[in-house]
Amino acid sequence: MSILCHLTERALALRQCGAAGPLPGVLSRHLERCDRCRRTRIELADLAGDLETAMRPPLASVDLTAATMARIGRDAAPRRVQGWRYAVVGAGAIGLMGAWLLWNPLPPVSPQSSALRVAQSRLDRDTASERQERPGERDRGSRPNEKPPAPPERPRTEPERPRSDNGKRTPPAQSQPERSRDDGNTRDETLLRILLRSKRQVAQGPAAAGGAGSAQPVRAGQRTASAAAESPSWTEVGAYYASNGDYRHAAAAYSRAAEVTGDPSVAFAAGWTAEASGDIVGAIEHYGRLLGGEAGAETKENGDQACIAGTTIG
Amino acid sequence: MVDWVTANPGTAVSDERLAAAARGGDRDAYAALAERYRPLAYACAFAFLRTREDAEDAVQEAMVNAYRALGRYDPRRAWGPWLMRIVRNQCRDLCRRRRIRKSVALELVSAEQGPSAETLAIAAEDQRRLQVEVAALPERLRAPILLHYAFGLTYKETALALGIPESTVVGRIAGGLRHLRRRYVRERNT
Repeated sequence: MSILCHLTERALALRQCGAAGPLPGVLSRHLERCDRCRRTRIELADLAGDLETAMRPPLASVDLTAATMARIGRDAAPRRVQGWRYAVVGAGAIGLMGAWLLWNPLPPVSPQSSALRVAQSRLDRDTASERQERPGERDRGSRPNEKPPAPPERPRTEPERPRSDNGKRTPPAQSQPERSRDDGNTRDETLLRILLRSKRQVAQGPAAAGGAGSAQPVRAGQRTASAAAESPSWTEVGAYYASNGDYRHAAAAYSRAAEVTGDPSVAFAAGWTAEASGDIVGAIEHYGRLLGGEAGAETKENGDQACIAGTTIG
Repeated sequence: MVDWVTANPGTAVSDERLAAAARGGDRDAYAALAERYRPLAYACAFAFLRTREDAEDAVQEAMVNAYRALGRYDPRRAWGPWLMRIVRNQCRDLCRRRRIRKSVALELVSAEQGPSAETLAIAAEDQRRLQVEVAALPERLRAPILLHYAFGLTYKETALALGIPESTVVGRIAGGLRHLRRRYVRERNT
């Protein structure tokens, strides 16, 4: 089949469909010479005739329109487009979004406070040194009475306040916690409060800060007035970091708290925060220690010391 | 909508005026419109769905949907393309819901022709093979061929039913003919 045959077939099919105009000269001359293309012309004409006779579709039922109108009369009614409804719905949606933003203000895009940075760097340093100390097995009981991170150094000299015309000092500017409250950064404020109390108690003496193990995990922002009187603990620091989403530091703080208090719930908190921070090995270690401790307590009663090795992971 | 309407009696009132009246709540006007477009809508639905029952269901559903959507119809635009678009969408929805596949045969009425029983049998066999080949065509070729050859619609009406230009209809029918010639005529000759 030459290209001319192909083109002739296409042209003949179009002419069969009523395309006007004669065939181009080249194709008509080819059609005179080529038997195959002449046969194609006959076949296309026969096919069109066969299609007209062979394709007999069933007719639609006469009462189709009546059935349609009956159905329309029964359950349909033309709906008018009411554009004002779209406007009302759109305005309502925008209002809801605005109200939501008013009630849940976005956190300010400001750098972390210096207190938070100091506490974090301290915690990082401690964690790193602890990892260096334990090549394979951690010795958690080595530092049972370690204190929470020291608060950041505050400038000893107060900045010079501007004087008014009569020589009196103007009232001091807003304190840091107030300012952070104004910014809506209550988490920074909470940490600052914890750290300032820690510094105050450390200055009063080790006895005042001795109860470093508030065993109950306290969430930032949910502390009661009586809890505020307690000394800050690693548990509180861990809760602060956990509520902030900083699970790595929360795990480190909880780990310290678990060492100090030996509370299983704190050990569990250390485990899940380590797991949330991606430190699976650390999480398994915490969970294993927790299970080992509980199993150990049980088996001690039973006198079966071999069970300890079996339940301790790592 | 020119040829189809003028070919039918009682079309002195234009589609758009009837549609405007129906939009105002005149059900008789809508009944006239539905009756006027029933054959075209049914042909289009049959070309898509291949069976009478499905086609009638689709036409009825499309007419009801069009009546409900009269509020969105712009009387400045032509009624026919608007309605046929609803019909086509309804057919596609029905195809999806009922999972109508290419394997579904065309539900056609057998032709009663031929002088003798033998000729009739041969013709019936040829027709059956031709129907199978047409049913096996892709939809873009099958629908114009069915509308033009089976329902006798003009190219303009076929273009209206399918929502494509008239020249495209001609090209698709020509393509369908070439496709069928290769498969049907050659097989018959051999």
